[in-house]
Amino acid sequence: MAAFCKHCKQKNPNINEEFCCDGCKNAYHLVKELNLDSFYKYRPSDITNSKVDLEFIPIIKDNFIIDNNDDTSSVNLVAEGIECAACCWLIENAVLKIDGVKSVNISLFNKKINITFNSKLNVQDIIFRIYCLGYKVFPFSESLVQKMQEDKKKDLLKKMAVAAFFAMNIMLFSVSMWFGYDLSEDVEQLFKVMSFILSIPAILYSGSEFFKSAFSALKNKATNMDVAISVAIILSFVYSTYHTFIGSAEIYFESCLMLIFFLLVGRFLEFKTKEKITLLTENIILSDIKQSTILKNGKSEDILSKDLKSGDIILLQKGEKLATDAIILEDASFDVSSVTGESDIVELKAKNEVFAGSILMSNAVKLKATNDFKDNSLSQIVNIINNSKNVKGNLQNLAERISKMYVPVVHVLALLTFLISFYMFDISLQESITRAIAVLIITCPCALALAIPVANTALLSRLYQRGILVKNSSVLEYLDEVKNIAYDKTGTLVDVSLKLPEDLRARELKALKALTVRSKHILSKKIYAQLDEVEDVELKNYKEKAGAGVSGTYYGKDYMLGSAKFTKSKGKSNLVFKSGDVCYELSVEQILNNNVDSCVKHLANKSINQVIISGDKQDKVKLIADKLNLQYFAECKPIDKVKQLKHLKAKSKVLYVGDGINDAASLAVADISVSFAKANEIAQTSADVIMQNNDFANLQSFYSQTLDNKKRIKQNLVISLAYNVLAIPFAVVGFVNPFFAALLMSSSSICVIINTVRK
Amino acid sequence: MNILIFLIPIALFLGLVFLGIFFYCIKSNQFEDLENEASKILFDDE
Repeated sequence: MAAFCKHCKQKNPNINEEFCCDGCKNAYHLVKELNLDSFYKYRPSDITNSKVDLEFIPIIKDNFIIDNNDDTSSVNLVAEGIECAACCWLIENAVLKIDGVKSVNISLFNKKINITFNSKLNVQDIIFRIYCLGYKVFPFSESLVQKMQEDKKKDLLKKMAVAAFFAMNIMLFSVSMWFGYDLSEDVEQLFKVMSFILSIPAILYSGSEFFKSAFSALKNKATNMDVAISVAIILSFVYSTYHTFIGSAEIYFESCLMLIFFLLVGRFLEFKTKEKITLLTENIILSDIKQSTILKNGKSEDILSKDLKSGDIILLQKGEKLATDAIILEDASFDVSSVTGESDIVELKAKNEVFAGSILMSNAVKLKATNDFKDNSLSQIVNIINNSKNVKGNLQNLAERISKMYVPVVHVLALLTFLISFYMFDISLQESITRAIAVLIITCPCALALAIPVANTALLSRLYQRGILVKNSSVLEYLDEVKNIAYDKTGTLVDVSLKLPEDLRARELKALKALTVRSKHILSKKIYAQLDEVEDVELKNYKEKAGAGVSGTYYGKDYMLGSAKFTKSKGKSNLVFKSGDVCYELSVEQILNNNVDSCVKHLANKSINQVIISGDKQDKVKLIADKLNLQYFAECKPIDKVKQLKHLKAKSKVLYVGDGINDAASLAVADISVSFAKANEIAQTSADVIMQNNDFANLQSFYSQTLDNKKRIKQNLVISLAYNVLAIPFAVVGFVNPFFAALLMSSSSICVIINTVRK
Repeated sequence: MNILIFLIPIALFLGLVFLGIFFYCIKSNQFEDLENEASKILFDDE
């Protein structure tokens, strides 16, 4: 009796066995055999493993294998299912035990695996072993964007280190000068000169981060936050240099460097969170690693889907997704919900065309490709997406909008300070310049620069823990402007599932569950998913007849589940559950996803206009729309959906929730788009936010948490601006000494951080 | 205060050495994954 599988720790339907499936059983024995069973001890208690699935092991082509020229080769893989350090440990040791493997390096952060092995070893053996343990791996080739991200991260780290190192060393001199007892004049001069020398490399190297961006902004006749930062850095440096050699006032080198350091920390934090999220979403859905099986000279051959040519004969297995548009050569039924939004399974006769993204529901068929992969209907949608990306790009983020107002104000204020001091109060030229610069330094938006990235980083990781991946973090800033939400129906609001007859008795339900437990058929899985609460029982004489159905005996009564022919039923439906002599027909029905109801109500209370835009038939959409009390548009082609969205967009910002290929273009056009981890890859790539499951409680919490975060950002901005505003009068009248400035600057940053992390 | 002539260069030199080590660590990807490497020490070698 085991409620949970011993290997994957997921719920175990087979009550009399320790494992939920043969895959897990084999994995467990493999781990034992390799003497690695401490894995189960090391694994944190809240982590479950993925189920072992050996059906689609990718073939690693030679071009993914790097020859190291010394009888060894390396391969880079990206893995799915690695959750904890124990997983890394298990894979590492299990692979190392294969003869000929030299080294294994796994990164838990971005799920990359690098393996070096003897060139004579077949790389497929390594892949097979990893799959046997329940992890999925794909060949990985670093894209240019990722390489750039990696370099950028290292660059930021180095700049931070340099800024911190020099700032601390200068602080050593500054503190001595502030508190130093009885410093002789030449020692103080030495300290000043040392501070000057040490600040040069830091400003040139670490400050370049801001100078470059400020320069390119100025070149485009615009200003941004970096312009203000650059001006403050350069002016405080020039001012301090002047007083090092000519004047005699206090110097600010350490404040200048601390400023650079704090700003870089904020930038690094934001960058790192973003990087983690893009890595997770982009890598696993690399489309060019997907494979198709084609028939060539009578033999089947696996090729990469992107190499498919028009005229190829494709062999599609049950449950597989078609990679390109094709004509079917035999009768078959397809699930096209992701392509058109239609919820019924369509039965097609030979010679009909099916589009890329359709899933085969009947037994294996042959198809003839009508397009090259790059010209298929999917690729055309990808083009729409790419074209609409620019539309989104010109939304400004909050920080930029503020700095646009803030920067000129600060500059004018500094100028006024100088003019008023010099002309109205007859203060010396030098003192007037000092005050103007002090205003610039003290108002430098350090806490302001931290306010937004810190709050967003905290929110992103909170959402991530709930299974909500925000790919494009700028959407967090204008979610509160959204007044329209549009939903796709099929796959988003509802899942298409088989409706069980309502009059089944308890014993029949148990038998039905037992029948579907072991069957791999896609329809069986759908039925099984609905029987979660039914007790598990054992059947006698369990038999599966491929392509027909399953049968078994429970308490002396025979039960069958399968096609009309298999069960000898005379009804219309092709899927029948037979209990003794009674036949129940199972039909396809739409079932609302979890919490859709409460989420729609919650948003309606916030006076947000919600509509359904679906590609499905009128009557099906109406049914759901009436249930949820929403407006609807039915039978929309992808391009019609985009039109409807643009119509809504004219009034206010629009959030779109969708999952299919037919939604991809709409997802790209909407101001904010939400999709699901189960959704089509193209939909995922064009979405801004991806939810791990179809539970709408997640959408609701994304909405409320983001709005809450926006409030917090505003508080942060108020705090940091309040600090600056309070400090300005002191600077204007010339009361600011460097110690006070540094204290003020760091305490405002700390306040902002505390406000962000508090619950 | 003559001691400063020795102390300042020594302090700077030591700091620079550590900065150099930090740069080396960044270059050899040691900051790529902070979670896995940190827990590795807790598992026995097989």
